[in-house]
Amino acid sequence: MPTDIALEASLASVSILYQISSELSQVEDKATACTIFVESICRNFSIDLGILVELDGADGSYQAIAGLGLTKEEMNQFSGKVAGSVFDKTLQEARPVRLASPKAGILPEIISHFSIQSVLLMPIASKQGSGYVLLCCRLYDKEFLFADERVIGILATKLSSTLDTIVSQDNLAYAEQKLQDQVLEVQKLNLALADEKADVERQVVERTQQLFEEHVRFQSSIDSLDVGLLMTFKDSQTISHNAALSKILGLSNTVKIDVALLEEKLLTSSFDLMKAIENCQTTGELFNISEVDYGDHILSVFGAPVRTQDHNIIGTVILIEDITEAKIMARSKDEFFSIASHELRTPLTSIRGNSSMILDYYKDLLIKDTPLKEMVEDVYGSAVRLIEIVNDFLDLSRLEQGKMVFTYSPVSLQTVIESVVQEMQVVFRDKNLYLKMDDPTFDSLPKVWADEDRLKQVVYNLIGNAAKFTDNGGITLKAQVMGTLIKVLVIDTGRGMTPESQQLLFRKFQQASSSLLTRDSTRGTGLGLYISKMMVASMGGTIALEESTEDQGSVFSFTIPIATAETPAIIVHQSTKHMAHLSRR
Amino acid sequence: MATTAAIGLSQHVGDSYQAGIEATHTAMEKIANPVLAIVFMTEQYEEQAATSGIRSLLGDTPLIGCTAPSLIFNNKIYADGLGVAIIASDTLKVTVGLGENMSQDAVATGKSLGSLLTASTVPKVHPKNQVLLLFADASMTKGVVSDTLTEAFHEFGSFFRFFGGGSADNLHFKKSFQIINQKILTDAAVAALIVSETPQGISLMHGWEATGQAFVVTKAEGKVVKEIDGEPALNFYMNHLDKDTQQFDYSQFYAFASGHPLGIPMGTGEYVVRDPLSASLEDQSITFVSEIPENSIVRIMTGSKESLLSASVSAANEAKAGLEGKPAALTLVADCVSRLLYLDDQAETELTNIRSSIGEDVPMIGFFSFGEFGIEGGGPPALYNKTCGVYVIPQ
Repeated sequence: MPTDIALEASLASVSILYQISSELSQVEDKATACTIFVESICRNFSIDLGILVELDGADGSYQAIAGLGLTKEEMNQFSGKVAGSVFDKTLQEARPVRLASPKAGILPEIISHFSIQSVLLMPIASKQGSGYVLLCCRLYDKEFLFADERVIGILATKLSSTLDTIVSQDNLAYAEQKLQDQVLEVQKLNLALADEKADVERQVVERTQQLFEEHVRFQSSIDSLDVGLLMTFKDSQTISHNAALSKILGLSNTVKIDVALLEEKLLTSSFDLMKAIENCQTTGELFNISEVDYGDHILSVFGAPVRTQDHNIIGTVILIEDITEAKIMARSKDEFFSIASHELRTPLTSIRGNSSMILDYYKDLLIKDTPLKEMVEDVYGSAVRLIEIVNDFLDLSRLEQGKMVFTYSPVSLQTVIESVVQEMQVVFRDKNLYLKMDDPTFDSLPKVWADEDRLKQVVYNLIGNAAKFTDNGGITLKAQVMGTLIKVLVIDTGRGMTPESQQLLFRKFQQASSSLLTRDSTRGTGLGLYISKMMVASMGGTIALEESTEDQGSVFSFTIPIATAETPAIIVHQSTKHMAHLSRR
Repeated sequence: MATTAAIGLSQHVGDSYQAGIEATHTAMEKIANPVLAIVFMTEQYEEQAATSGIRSLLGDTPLIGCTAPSLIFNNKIYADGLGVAIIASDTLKVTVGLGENMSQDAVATGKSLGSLLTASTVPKVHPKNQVLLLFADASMTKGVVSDTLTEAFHEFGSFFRFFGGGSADNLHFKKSFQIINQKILTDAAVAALIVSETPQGISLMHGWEATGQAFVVTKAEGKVVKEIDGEPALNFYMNHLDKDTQQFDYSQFYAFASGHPLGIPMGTGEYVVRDPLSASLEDQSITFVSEIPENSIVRIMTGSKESLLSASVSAANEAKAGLEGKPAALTLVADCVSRLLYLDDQAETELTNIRSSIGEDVPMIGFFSFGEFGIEGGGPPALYNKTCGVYVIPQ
């Protein structure tokens, strides 16, 4: 090759390399890079068909991705399987292939109608995928030169690096896009958060208003109470108190009342308010001090824990009631009953005694005059019943006022019960009922520590009560030792009681068969069980309904301490406790 | 019958319609049953009237053509003339088509030309036998003819070769027209798809040679080169040619610069020539007849009347050789208008040489063009400057 021609060729090569490299350096997408590459090479090297083929390792196919010299339809159809293709072979051998007059079947069918005179196959490696092959065809009698191959090869290397850069940039762009998406997402979340915050703030305002209104309603409600109320947190800090509390304590409404002030005001040796509150908050137990002297007033103090829905204790509510008036009224009533009963008993005793004497002294006369006899007997019977009623009232009055005197001594329970059974046999025979003692259980029973008369009165009450509600069968008495106590069971085959009726037992003026709101005045005062309960309690025992089934009968029981050296002390302690408990009922 | 062709000329400037009839009539005297008519006319003619005159005789025979600074008719040059070539054939298959609005979207214009393919049934024969004859408006400074050519090539593929030239007025650089059937268009491309049974001959050569060192076009926009080697283009160009930029009479720029075009080296060793058309003192840019891509390596070309004449003879011989022994029926020439100016009194010598090479009995018609289109030695079509293009249709 003459020197000037060689120089021209070199310059042309440099020119092409420079220009195409410059163009490729400026493109940012794969399609444009491939198009520039193919068209520039075709234009500069008089190539009639230039096709850039991409080999896809994933699905094993090849596809034209840029080209010149084929129609668009032909370009779209330029595809096939990689395996066994000339492109696969070129890429695997990794070196350019020049062919003159290629044999039929070597090149894809889609370009078989071209009279291809010479071919250059240029492999283009890639970091992504399997790679590319540039297919260059000339349709005229002009073979590819080694120089063509070298220059096109350098350009192919440039394309490879360009595509790798673009893919990297695409990846970077993708990452940036993802980042932007995430930033947008965060911005959306921020907006949503702002909305949520605004919503929460609105709810807080609404809720605050609701709480304020609820507080006003609550304060109005507690202010309307006659009972003083103090509500505290668990740390005894005051949540609220009402006007009644200030009034009861004689304080101005402007004075803030807390537990410390309350304790100071109610200072008494009879109870420790702080300790009671502490215990209430620790164990959840209520506390109730029924009578607290406060100047010339008597107060009742009640405390209860404040619990959440899940039962956690978060504070204490203390209710203070001025019971001065109630106490005065109760004492007046008791005194009235006592005085009235005493005043009634004297004439009644006289009526009973005189009518009894008339029946005895004028027995023969009265036999002849039956109507007169019945009238006198009626007077006598009424007097007896009235005396019983008056006695009940007197007993009740004495018990409630703590004025009933108990004379304790070791008592044979068996003897007491036998005497009562014996006395009442007449009544039972008239009703065609049995009354019996389960003797084995009474044998060798230890003596109990009791007031014999009161004990007898209790047994009378229980047997008499059972007799009232038993129409068939009868009553059986049993006894058993239970530690330091003897338990006596009164078992009847009477009507029994409904569960509702059972709840009403042992209340003042309450008959076993009655409802809470109605009573049968022909069946006694309804004080029998109540008095029995107070008496048993005074003697250190308890009274209870063991069981009761409608139409099958009931089982009542009472306990009484066994007489020992220590019994008197125990009785005093227990009876005090029981009486205190009863007085709260 | 195979293929025959005849040409007719009119210089009847006063009556364009009559001129069209006259030229067509002359041609038709020699042949019958035309399959394609080609017309070139200078700016003195009223295009629509002239075309109507032609079609009054040709009827629905497909017609394409364009306006030009000067007409080539056999071995003569006419600055005021209307030439018609009529081709009759029972073997040629001809379809005509057009694409408009080149200055707005040159790619879309090229794509429109693709409709020619769907309008014709093109056999799968060798591209030597299939030629797209194309005339496109080259007068718009913003129009990028290369884009139209490339897109057309995408549509047609390598099964077609291209030949043609850019239409222009008489160096006023204002407006040119393209003709297809009865339509007179501007800012358009018109084309005829000519398929023959035997190879057709095409060759484009310029005769310019590179000289001196190479430079890089560092900033360019279409046809406007703004910087060379990083310096203002005009200053660089003039300094390199030892011209005093302050004293130079820029009204004579084209006359001077047409003797010093730029060449872009191709891989084949050939140069694509770019003809400097005008200079701007304001921004120191140089506008060329055709676009120069940014980052192109260029060299200043030099030539002589002898080298240019020699190139056109070579082009003629190569085109004739392309017929592969078949006699020629018609020779079409697209010769750069700058060659006319440069060769001056020897311009007709170039045509005489071409005609002698192909055959004195072969009618020859053509025009002086603003850019020549074609495929030189294979590959995609290119837009050439200062080139002589010869296209020979076989009998």
